[in-house]
Amino acid sequence: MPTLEQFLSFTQRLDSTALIVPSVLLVAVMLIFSDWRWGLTAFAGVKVLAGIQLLQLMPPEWALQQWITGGLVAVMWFLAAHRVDTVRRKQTGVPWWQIEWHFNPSTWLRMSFVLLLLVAVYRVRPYAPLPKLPADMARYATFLALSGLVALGLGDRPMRWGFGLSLWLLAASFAIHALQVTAETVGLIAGAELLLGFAISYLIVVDGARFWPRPEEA
Amino acid sequence: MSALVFVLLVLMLLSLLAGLMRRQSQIAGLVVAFGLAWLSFGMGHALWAGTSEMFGHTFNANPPNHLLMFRFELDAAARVPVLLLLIWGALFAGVAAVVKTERILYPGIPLVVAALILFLSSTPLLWAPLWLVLAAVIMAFLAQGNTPRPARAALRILLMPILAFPFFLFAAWVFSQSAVAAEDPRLWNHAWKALIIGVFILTSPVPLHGWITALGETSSPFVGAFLVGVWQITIYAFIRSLLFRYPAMTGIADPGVWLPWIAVVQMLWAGAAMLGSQRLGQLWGYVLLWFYGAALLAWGLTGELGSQAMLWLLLAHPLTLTLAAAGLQSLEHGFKRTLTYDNLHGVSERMPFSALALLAGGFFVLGWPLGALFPMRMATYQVAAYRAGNIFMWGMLALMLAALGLIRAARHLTTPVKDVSLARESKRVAAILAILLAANVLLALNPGLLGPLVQQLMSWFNTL
Repeated sequence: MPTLEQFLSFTQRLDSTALIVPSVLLVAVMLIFSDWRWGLTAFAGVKVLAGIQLLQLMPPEWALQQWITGGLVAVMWFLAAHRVDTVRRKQTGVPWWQIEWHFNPSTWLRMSFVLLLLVAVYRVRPYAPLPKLPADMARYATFLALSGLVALGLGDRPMRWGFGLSLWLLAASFAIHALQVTAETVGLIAGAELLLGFAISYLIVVDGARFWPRPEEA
Repeated sequence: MSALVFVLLVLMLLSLLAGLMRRQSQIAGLVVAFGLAWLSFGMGHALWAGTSEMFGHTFNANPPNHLLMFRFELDAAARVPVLLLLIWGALFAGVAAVVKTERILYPGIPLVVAALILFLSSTPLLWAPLWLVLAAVIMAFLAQGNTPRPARAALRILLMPILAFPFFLFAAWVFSQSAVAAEDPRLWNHAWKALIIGVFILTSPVPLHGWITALGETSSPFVGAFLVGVWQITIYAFIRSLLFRYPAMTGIADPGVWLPWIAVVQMLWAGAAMLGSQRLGQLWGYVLLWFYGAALLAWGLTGELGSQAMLWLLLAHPLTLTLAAAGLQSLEHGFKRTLTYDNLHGVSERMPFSALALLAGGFFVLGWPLGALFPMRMATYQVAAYRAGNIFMWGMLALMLAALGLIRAARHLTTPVKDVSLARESKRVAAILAILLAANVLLALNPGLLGPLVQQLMSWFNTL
């Protein structure tokens, strides 16, 4: 297990531009798959990669905050989604290891929307000229913001909305932290993200409880 | 202890009490209504007496309250929306307790009001939207209610403050860096645009209006009406503070020009959807959207000079909204099935007051005579006809569509009874509906009744 210093020195040697491609793919996974395990894993990956990207804009201890916030939010969502899934499986008699996920028409629809977004981003290279933000990072932030907005249009399930709004805040982190890195701004954005995470984790449970055969027993 | 801390503590206590009285939800509602009425009385007394103290606690505490990087103070301008929020909360909790609604409303009302008060009393102004995110989270819990159901309304409530938040942060940074901004005028220009986009998002223009219609469809009628109303008060007060703090904003994009258009698009959208509604919940959602747009129209057309008109409107709104919400809530109670138009046989025979309250409330929202909002709606239409011909024309179209939508609902509500086991409305509910109807008529006939209170509120509101 590397120490924090070793990990930070390793991440600083990474070519941050090369991290954009896996990050884009992880965002696509977040938006396409409805299975919460896939979604949350991709979300955690995006947060880690974004934290590494943010090392260019701020000292490591502040960039670390992105991982801490993302980690806390991911844990909240994991616990909520896990509870919904466990209770439903228990009540319907489906064992925990049985895969229930299928490529259904709505997955295809989401996939086509995301592919459309990726093609549009690749061809048009949309770029919001955010002050003081290097061009490649501004492009990346623009992609994150667009993906967030697309996620909001892909249905009314809490976790996907959580991903969408979280991507929006992540894009905002790049724009704001390029201008100033102070405890106040870092705290404000992290605070908003934690509040969002808290709300979404509650909504995951109450929305998911609709699919429990006997919600009163849970 | 400052008045702000005192108010927040009382609100927390009320919420806790209401939460503990889970099995006596009606009593919980009455306790919350009484508590909020008591706080409003205290603040109203300070207003009449011209003192800066409320129950012995000063509004301008020295030193002021600080938390993290925020400074909290109930300055004169913030006290007006706070008083309005308390009055709204008291009225909604009281009427809902009599009619019976979801029990989450009772502990939820003080919490939502507390979060909005925190937002309205915090500075720096452009960082304050963090507290709006907190308020939206609590509003989302309230919208979701205490039964498993789709989270559509709750999710959409979160949308506006989170989308708008980064724009305010960006503007805050640029405005705090006058030297940097002077070197790069484009940055300054971007900041103004960001500020306007943030404000624009908070006004819930179409297509960000979805939270209002989803609330009508999926939440209890009281929750929907309360949340839409308090959001409107808060956003009005916040944008007004922004306009006072950054008057140059009007030079970039004059709200007097874009606000009426946002409003009229909302009203048109709502009117068309009301005409095509198939369920009473759906209709209610669009009535709320129409109501929201109409208030924005009044504000946009009357401009800053119209603060008096807006305060009158915000004081009169809950009378009409509680009437319609109570009517719909009573129908939902008595009519065990989904309230689709095809199922509404015999409603007006078995629950005449409830049906009348819903329809009358709907028409009163449009500004029909004998409704509390009639004088102000009439004035708004007249100002529109005088100042903005296009707005007036589209507004009249929206009014006509909405009226036809309500007439269509009335036609379904007045079909003969098919199911003889259909319950009748309780006398208690009929009595409260009659009182609310009478209050509406009284205010329509005597709009000056609210005059003295509005005048007093203006004295606080215009203090810089």
